[in-house]
Amino acid sequence: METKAKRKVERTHKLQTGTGERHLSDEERHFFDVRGYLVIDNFLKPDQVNEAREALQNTAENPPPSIMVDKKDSELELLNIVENGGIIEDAITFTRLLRAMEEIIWGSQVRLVASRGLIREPGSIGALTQGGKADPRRYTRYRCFLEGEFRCLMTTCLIALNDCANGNGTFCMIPASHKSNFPHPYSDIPLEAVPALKDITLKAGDAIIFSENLSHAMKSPIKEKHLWLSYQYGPSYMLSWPGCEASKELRTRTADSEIKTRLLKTPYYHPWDHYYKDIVD
Amino acid sequence: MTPEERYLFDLQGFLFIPDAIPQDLVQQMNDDIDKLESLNDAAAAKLGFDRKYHDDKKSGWVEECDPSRPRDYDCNVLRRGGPFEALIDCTRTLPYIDEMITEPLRLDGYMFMTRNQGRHTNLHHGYAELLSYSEFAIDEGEFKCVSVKVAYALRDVSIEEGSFAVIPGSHKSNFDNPFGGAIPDENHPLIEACPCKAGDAVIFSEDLTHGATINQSKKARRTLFISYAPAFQTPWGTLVNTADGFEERATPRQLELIKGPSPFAIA
Repeated sequence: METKAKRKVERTHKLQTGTGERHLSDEERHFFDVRGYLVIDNFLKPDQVNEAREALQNTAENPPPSIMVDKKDSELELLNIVENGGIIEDAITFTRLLRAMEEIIWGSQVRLVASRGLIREPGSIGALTQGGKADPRRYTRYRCFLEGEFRCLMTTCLIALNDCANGNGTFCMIPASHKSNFPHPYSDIPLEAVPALKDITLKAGDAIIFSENLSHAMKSPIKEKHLWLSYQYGPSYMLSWPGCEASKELRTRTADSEIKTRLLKTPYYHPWDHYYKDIVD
Repeated sequence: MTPEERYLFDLQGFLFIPDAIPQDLVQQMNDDIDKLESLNDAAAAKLGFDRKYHDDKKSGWVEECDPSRPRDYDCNVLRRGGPFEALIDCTRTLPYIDEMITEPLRLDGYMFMTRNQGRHTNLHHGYAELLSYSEFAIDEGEFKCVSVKVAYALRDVSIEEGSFAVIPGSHKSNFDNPFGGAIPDENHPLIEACPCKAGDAVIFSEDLTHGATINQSKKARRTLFISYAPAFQTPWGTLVNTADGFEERATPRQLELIKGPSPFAIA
């Protein structure tokens, strides 16, 4: 297996900052292109997992104004969870995640579009997204060009805060569906009856990065509730998901971190554009 | 779009739209600009015409200051309002844009630009540049483009007067643009210049390699550039800031194009 030496591809263009750099190994790049996802083992350490779990539980009971709580059936969604701070805020910059996103999306011109905490009880129903070309969500497009230069749009990192295996609350997807040319015919049948669907076994602390264009869903936990963190990244010009604009408090708190500041920046096309600099960020 | 227009846009990456702006509206716009150019910068800015000069290093352009020639500039002309607002939902061009992007879209930039004697615009872009926000795409016979621009001529502009110039087909090029940064040479077999009469427009994919020939005349070229993109893309900074009272007088479509429809309409 090739080592993850940072290589530069001679395609960097003046308008694009930090592109052309390779952070993934050839194997990882190939895997992501073919399957539409990558698993990062042990993304969070056990103490970080515990901290995140506790933070989600506390936030669900006492949400601050900057975090919206939405209950759908047996699932609680905490929108804009990055506002919580602590490990939930720090994890958005972890090297293995950020380097992958930079290569998959648009070099250093990547931003955090949305963040969520999910608390899923037994009975949570996860609908299978369409994926591929038939997916009406244009902002999810998977794009990869010559010499393996990615320009994907919305790309998600889902972090398991519980062990999920054998259909017990597992993340599941149809491999390679990010490149499907036809709509899938599974919209009206239970997930368990979809032959092409594959479960991804994750331990607490593992993460999966996937193109939002991949057909995917989450199965119901069987006995106990499962907690997840979800971060969605996009290119610098992609607007924030409604409700996920960074608060003034978050921006102030992260002002000393160049990476966090960049990820939470108001959307922009080119950082040097004088019409962007006129905006008070 | 007619079948021929669809064919030509796919083939070439641009479409020429004659008489996109009625002549009386062209006249109103030019009269307004004449009046604003007679004012100093501060006075013009107060009226919403904040000029950004291209020889100002902060502008991002690389033009040298030459006191013997008028200075080129651009500005957000939407802040001026008035006759310029009519092009937000121009009835001659917007139907094409709708069909080229084919999903909820917004106006993400509107700019007025001058080009005086001796100046040009370097050739730039091309598909192989892989600009994330600029994609010429077709799926099942439908255009699914991102970032489509319209250049409206406010004055007659011949090739010698600095017309728009393109490399037809470069919106699909798989190789780096060897002319990136070059002055368009209208005599090169690859390059096509697009002379226009006042009121004509050229709609083009941002993926198309484009620029402008050298203006060899003493007449300043005046162009309005309007850019459209899917609703999930941000505006170009302040280039969609509107004039006072816009919301009260705007049509529903104009309002939607400026504010942008719900960016993630399908969740």
